[in-house]
Amino acid sequence: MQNDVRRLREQRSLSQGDLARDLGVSRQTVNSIETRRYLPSLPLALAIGRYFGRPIEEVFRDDGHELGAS
Amino acid sequence: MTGTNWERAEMASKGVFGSRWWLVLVGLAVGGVLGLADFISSGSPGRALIDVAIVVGYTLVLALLQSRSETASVLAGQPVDERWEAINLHALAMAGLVAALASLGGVVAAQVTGHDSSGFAIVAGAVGIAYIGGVVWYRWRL
Repeated sequence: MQNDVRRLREQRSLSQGDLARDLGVSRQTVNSIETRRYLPSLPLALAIGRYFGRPIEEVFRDDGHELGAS
Repeated sequence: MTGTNWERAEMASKGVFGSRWWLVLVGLAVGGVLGLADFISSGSPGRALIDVAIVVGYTLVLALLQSRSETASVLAGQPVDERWEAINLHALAMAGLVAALASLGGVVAAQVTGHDSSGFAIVAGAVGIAYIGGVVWYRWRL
C-alpha cells in the first residue's frame, strides 16, 4: 500500500511530531505509516485524509492488488 | 486537535482505568498474593516481602515511566495509539505461542525424566482452551 503522507506533510511544512499531535498518535506511528511499515486502521486513514483535505484514495493507494487475488 | 475514534475511545476508557496508580495497586495485589503463598510455603516473612517488593517495584517503575516512554505505556497496559495497540497484540500472541511451546516441552521433558508433568499439562491445557475459546468468541464479535 503506497501513501502520500510524507509528501503532504512536507508540503505543509509540518514535522512528524506536529502531525502526530494533531492526529492524536505518536510520532513513531506517523513515521511508521510514512515508511509503510504500519498500515493505519480505516478510522485513522480517514482522519489523515480529512486532515489533509483529500479523499482517502488519494492519500492511500494499493499496489495493484485485487481483492480475492492470490 | 482532531482526535481519531481510537483516541476518543481510549480517552473514555482512561476515565475508568486511567490512573497510573491503578497499575501499582494491581501490582500490590498480585505481589501480595505471591508473597502470601511464599510465606505459607516457606514461613519466611522476608521472602514474602521480597516477592511483594519485586512486583510492586516493577509496576512502580512502569507507572513512573509511562508518561515519558511509549514502550513503558504498553508494558503498563495503556498503549498510546492504535499502532502500539497492534504491537501489544503481536507481543501477546508471541508470548502465548512461547507459553504453549514451553508448557508442551515441559510435559514431554517431565514424562521422559519420570517427573510429574501435571503442572505443565495444566498450563498447556489452559493455553489451548484459551486459544480455542478466543477463536470462537472473536468469530462472533469481529
